[in-house]
Amino acid sequence: MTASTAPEVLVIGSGAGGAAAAWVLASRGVKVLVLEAGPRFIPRYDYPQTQADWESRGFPDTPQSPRYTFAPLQQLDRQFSHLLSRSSLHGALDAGGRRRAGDYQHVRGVGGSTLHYSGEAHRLHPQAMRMHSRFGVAADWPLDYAELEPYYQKVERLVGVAGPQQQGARWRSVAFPQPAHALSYCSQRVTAASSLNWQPNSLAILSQAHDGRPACNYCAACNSGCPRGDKGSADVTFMRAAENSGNCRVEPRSSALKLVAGDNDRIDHVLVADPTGDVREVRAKAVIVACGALETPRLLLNSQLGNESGQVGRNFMETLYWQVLGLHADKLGSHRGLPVDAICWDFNAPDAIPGVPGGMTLSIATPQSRMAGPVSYATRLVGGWGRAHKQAMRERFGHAVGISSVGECLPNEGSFIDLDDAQTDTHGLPLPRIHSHLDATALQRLEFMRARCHQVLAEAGIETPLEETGSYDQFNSTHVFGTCRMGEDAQQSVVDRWGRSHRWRNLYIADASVFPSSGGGEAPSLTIQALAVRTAEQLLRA
Amino acid sequence: MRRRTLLQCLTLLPLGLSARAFAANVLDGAQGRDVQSSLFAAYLDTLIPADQTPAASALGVDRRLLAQARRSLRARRLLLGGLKWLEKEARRQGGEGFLALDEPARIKVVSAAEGSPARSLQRRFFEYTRDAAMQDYYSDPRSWQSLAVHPPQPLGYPAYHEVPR
Repeated sequence: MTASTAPEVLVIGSGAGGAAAAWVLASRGVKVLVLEAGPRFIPRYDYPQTQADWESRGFPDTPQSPRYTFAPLQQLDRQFSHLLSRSSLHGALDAGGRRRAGDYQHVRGVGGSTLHYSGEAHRLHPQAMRMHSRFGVAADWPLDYAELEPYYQKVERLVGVAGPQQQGARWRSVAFPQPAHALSYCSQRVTAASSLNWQPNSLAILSQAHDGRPACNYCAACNSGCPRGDKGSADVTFMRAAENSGNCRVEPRSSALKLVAGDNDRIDHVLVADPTGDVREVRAKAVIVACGALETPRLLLNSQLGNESGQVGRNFMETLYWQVLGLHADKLGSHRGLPVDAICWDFNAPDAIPGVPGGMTLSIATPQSRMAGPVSYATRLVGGWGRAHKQAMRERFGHAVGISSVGECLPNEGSFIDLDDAQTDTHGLPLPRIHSHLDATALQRLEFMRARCHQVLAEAGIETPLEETGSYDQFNSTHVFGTCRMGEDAQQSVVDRWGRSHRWRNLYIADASVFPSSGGGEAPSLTIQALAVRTAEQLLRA
Repeated sequence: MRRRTLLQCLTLLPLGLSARAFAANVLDGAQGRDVQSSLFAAYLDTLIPADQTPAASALGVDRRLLAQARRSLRARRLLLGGLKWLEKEARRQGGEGFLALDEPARIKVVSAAEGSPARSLQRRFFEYTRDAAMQDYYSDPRSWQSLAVHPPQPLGYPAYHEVPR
């Protein structure tokens, strides 16, 4: 297939969902064109892990211009001052009385945000898919766990997910394809001291060589991109398999600007800007949009289609998180291992937190907290200066313990995505604007999450966190959901149970914007991929 | 010689030269660079002195931070204001300037900057330079002795589950 040849299916976005859909289609002989707004990174050259300044460089995705804006965020309330982010070195986050606009940590590049993710591969808690039936909040998923389970299996097998024998409520019909990773020494110490139940996290990181990819060597720097390919980011798994089929072509640095409607409730073509800025029309029998929960509603709103229900951009759910850091008395070597290697599901069920619907996860996440090298220690945990500081660095490096919690985020009227007419991109199109509001239930959940993080640290012998950060005073999201909700009712949702637009017969969505609820702290990439595989298989049947 | 040059530069401000012009003059002029280097290096070596590992200036931290400051007017102004304050504080404490002080006296001056009100120039100068210097210094493997750390790849940490050595 050449660039000028019309593809049968056009996939917009090469992250978790787009890549998985492209793999299914291309491996069944369908000609697929994948558009990716960002570049194709070359892991061995672009990622910094072999360099002395790897900590400062981080992942090499540096936006040249803003990609989104914020509407004014909510005023902070004195009664929740205990939820302010603070550090022993830098004091409280100075939010100026109003919640601060942080980052939507979204990567543009072939592989999308899986390029910098921690590799967590979680199935949703089955009960987390029935939030409306059980609690009258969010919306029910139009499918259940049993229907999704075979697709989870397919994805786990291709990626090579490593995990434990059992994961409680999230039952399995087959074992994980790879054995779980051993816990780091740090996590062994923390879990041994904890009164909670911990187990190895399920991870899209190879514990054994698989499909031409090596086993992990535990450098702890997954969030800067994996230069070896043992982390199952979408570029080295789904996208690679799709391209190897000979039926899939990827165009990096190419942006979909507008979906253009044709006759018979179908998308006729898509306006695409190539790397030089030239705009062309691309026609395909079907279009799959997989740009994430900000860019997907933005594309639909800019195209002025798909919003017959008025739900495009509504029901926005962000990452509700809390994270604490402390220093252990013993040398743990906690800069080694995996970003998030141990997880506690005790409070993950949607009724597990007293008095508030929606669950949460706890994890030991020291490297994910960026405590993988001396720069972070010197600038965040070890205070002072002079000879005393240098000695303290020698005494405390490797002692950090980071505990992280992610909780359910429920939709509310104040959280949505719309277009910012005042700010446009290089093509003159309005940027997506984030409206975010944390309601009372979110704050109640945050308080519980904070208390459990403190409990884990205290049981490990660390009485006082040296740094704690959370969603209360700063929007900061890795996972966002819900802005093109799936459902049976065309008046209340954007796509049907297969991810197809209720109105536009050849338009599909395959990213977390279709999630009716966020889950109780599970990382969403595995569910995005399972849904995308299911959507693509349905498209094949159609 | 260098101290005299600095004093010449510092006296430009009261004569009505704008802060912008002052910053450009001092940082971009050859004389200014000499003064900058010496004073800034001495200050950074107070923050990060030599012991088992080299001092900040031995790893070139001062030169890189100055080069960064030359690309940002805001950083230049903060840096120059901070250096001027150090010099003034050194004299207030009875010395002939920061460079002329011994190490305990320099520590006293830097401690005064650290202990100043949160939004004061000298406190902002201290916090900015401390973080920037630590970031630069600990990005150099020569600072890692006894830390048991290395760039993440290609070695990784295969013994991550064992008691650290």
